[in-house]
Amino acid sequence: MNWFRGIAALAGLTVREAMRQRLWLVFAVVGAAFLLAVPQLTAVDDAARLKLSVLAVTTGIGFVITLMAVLVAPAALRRDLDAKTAYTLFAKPLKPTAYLLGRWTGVQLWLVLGVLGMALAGVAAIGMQFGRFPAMRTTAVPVGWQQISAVGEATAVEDRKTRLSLSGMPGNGVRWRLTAVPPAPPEGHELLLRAQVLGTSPDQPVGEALVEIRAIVDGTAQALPLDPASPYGRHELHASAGRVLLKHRDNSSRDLGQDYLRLRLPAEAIAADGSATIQLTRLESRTVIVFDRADGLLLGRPAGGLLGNLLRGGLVLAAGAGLLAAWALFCAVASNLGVTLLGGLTLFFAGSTLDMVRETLEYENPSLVVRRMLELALVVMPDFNRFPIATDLAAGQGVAWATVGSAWLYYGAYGAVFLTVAWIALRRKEL
Amino acid sequence: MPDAGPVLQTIGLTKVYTDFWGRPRVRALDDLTLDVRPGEVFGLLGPNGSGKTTTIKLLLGLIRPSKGDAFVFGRDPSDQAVKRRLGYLPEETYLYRFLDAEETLRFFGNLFAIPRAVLSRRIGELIELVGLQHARKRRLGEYSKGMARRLGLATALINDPDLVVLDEPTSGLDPLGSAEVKDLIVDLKRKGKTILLCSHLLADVEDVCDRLAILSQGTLREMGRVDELLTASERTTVELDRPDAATLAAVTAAAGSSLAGVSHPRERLEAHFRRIVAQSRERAPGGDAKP
Repeated sequence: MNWFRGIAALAGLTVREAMRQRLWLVFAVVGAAFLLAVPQLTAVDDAARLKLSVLAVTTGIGFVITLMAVLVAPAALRRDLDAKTAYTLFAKPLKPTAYLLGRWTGVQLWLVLGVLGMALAGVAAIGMQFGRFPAMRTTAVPVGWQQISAVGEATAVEDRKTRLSLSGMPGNGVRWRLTAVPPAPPEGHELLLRAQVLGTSPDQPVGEALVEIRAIVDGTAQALPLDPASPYGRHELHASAGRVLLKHRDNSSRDLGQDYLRLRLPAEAIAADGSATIQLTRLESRTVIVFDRADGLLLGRPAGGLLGNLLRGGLVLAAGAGLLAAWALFCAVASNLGVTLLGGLTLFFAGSTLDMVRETLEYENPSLVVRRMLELALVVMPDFNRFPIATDLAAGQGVAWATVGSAWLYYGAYGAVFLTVAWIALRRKEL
Repeated sequence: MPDAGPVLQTIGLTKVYTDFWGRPRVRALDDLTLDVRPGEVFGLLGPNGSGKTTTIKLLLGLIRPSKGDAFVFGRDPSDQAVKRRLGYLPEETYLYRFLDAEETLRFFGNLFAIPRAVLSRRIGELIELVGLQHARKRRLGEYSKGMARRLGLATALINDPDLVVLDEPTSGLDPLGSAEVKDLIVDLKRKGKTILLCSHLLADVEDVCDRLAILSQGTLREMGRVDELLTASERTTVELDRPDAATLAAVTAAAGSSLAGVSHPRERLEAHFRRIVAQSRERAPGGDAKP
C-alpha cells in the first residue's frame, strides 16, 4: 500500500511538474500546427491528401512524445539528484523502485494526455479540411495457403515462403483458408485482394489479369460478388459472377481503400466452424501473378472512426516512448542530462534502423564480425518499426486493442529491463 | 517510548569517500562511536567539514559506511520502517519550487501513506505551527529563504516522527524565527521526541541540547552533557542584586586572593533582541502579526 502511494505520489508530481513548466504548450503548438498545416498539404488527389494528412498527424504525435519521453522524467530525476531534493525524498519511506516507477508512470500519463490532446487537434484539422474521415478497417490474415495446379491439385505452400508466384498455363491458382471468421453482417464480410501482375518477361509489363474468385463451401464453389465500392475489378467483357480484373499493385503504396480489390464474403460462404476457403484461379496465360503471404488476401472489418484508432495508435506509440523513458531514466541515474538526451535519442535512432540491418544481412555480404554484430543487434535492440502505426493508419488499417497489448508487451519487456538496471544504479548511488 | 535501547547508535562508524576508481579520496568520518537516548536533544557540533553532514547521511541511509555500523531504532538506517518514524530537515531546503506549501506537505505526507483526512488536518496544523498561513497557496519559488526553511521544518514533522534530525535548522532564519525554532525543539522534546540537532551555531546547541558531541576533522573530540561540559567546576559565581558599595567591599574582601574579578552580568544578545522586539510590538497599534 505504502509502495503504491509512493508511486502514485511521484507520478502525480511528475505530471504536475510538466504542467507547471508549461510543457503542455508543446502539445498546444503541435495541435495548432496540425490545424494550420493540414490545409497546406498537397498531393495528386483528395484521397492521397487525406492519406498524407493522417500520416502527418500520426508522425507528428510520435515525434513529440518520443522527445517528451526522453526529456521529462529523466530531467526531473536529474534535478532531484543535482538540486539534492533526493536527500529529502529518500530520507522518507520511498524505495528506489517506487521512485523510478512513479517517475516513469508520471511521464506515461503525461504522454497519454498529450496524445489525447494532439489526436483531437489532428482529427479536427482533418475533419475541417476534408469533411470526412478515412474508413478504418481491421484485417485478418489467412492461416492456410495452398497452391493449386492447373489440374486442380492442391499443395501447401512452405511456411518459409513469403511470396507465391503463379505463371504458365491458365487454370492454376491459389487457395486461402481463413479461420475464426465472425458471423457476417447482411451485406457480407469484406475480402481484400492485392497482387503484383506482371508480364511473362520483365520487359513486358501487363498490369492486369482476369481471375476467378470463389468460396469453397462443402466441396462446392460459390462465386464471390465484387463489392460495389471496389476501386477496381470490374471487367466489361467478362462480367460473369466471380470473374474480376486484378490490377497490378506493388509495395510502393498500401492503402486498404484504394489499392485492394474488394469482394464480399456472404454468410453462406462461411462454414459452421467459422472457417472460409477462398480460391483464386488464373484465367489467362500472359501474366505472372505474385501474392504476398502477409498481404495477398485479407478479411477486412470496420474498425471504428479515425479518432478511436488514432488514440489506440497513440497508446502504441506511448508504449515505445515508455521504453525510451525507462532507458533515459537509467542514463539519468548514471550520468548527466546531456548524456541522457544523447543516449535516449541514440537508442531511438538505432532501434529505427533495424529494417536496414535486416536488408544488409539479406542482400549484402558483410564480414563475419560485422555480420555477427548485426545479428546481435537484431536480437537485443528494440525495433521501433515493429508497429508501423503512422503508415498503417494512413493506409486505413485500424489499430486493434490486441495491437496495443502486443506493443505494451514487446516494449514493456525492454522497459522492465531498463527500469531494473536503473533501479540497480540508483540503489548503488550515494547521494 | 517503546524502545528501551538508544534511538541512534554508531559503532566505529567510518566513511571514506573514493574517486571513480575506488581509490580513497577523503576520510570524512573516522571511527565515530556515540548513542542518542530516547527523549533527549542531542547536539552534533563541529566546524565546516568536520563530518556532521556525513554522519547524518549515514544515519539516514543515504550513503553507506566504509566501516563500522549505524543503527536507528535498533535497525539498519536504510530500513523503511525506520524512515517511517523519522523526520529530517536537511542543511538547505531542498523542495520543489513549483509546488505550494499545501501541495508540498501533501506530497511528502503521501510518501508516508498517511490517511487523507489525517493528512489534511496535519497539513493545517503544521502550516500554522511554522507560521505560513498567509503563504500556504504561494509557490515555493516565490518564498524567501526563511519561509522555505519553515516549510522544510513542517515537512520534517509531517509524519509526527519519533526522531527528528535537524541539520542547521536555524540557517536562513531571522533571530525571531531562530528563537521560534528553538521553542519548537523544546516543545518536541516535551512531547517525548528524540532530536538530533546538527549546528555550528553554538548558542543554538547550548540553549536546547541535553548532550552534545563535538566533531572535528571527522573525529569525535568530546561528548557529554552540556552542563557538565560547560561548567567550570573550579570557579564559582556569586550574583548580588543591586549591592551597595559596603556589601561589595565586604564580599571582595572575604574572597581575598581567590577573587578572579568583579563585573556586571551581561544579558545574552538573543534574549535582549527578543525582549526589544516584543516590547515594540506591544506598543505598536493593532498588535502583532507573525512574520
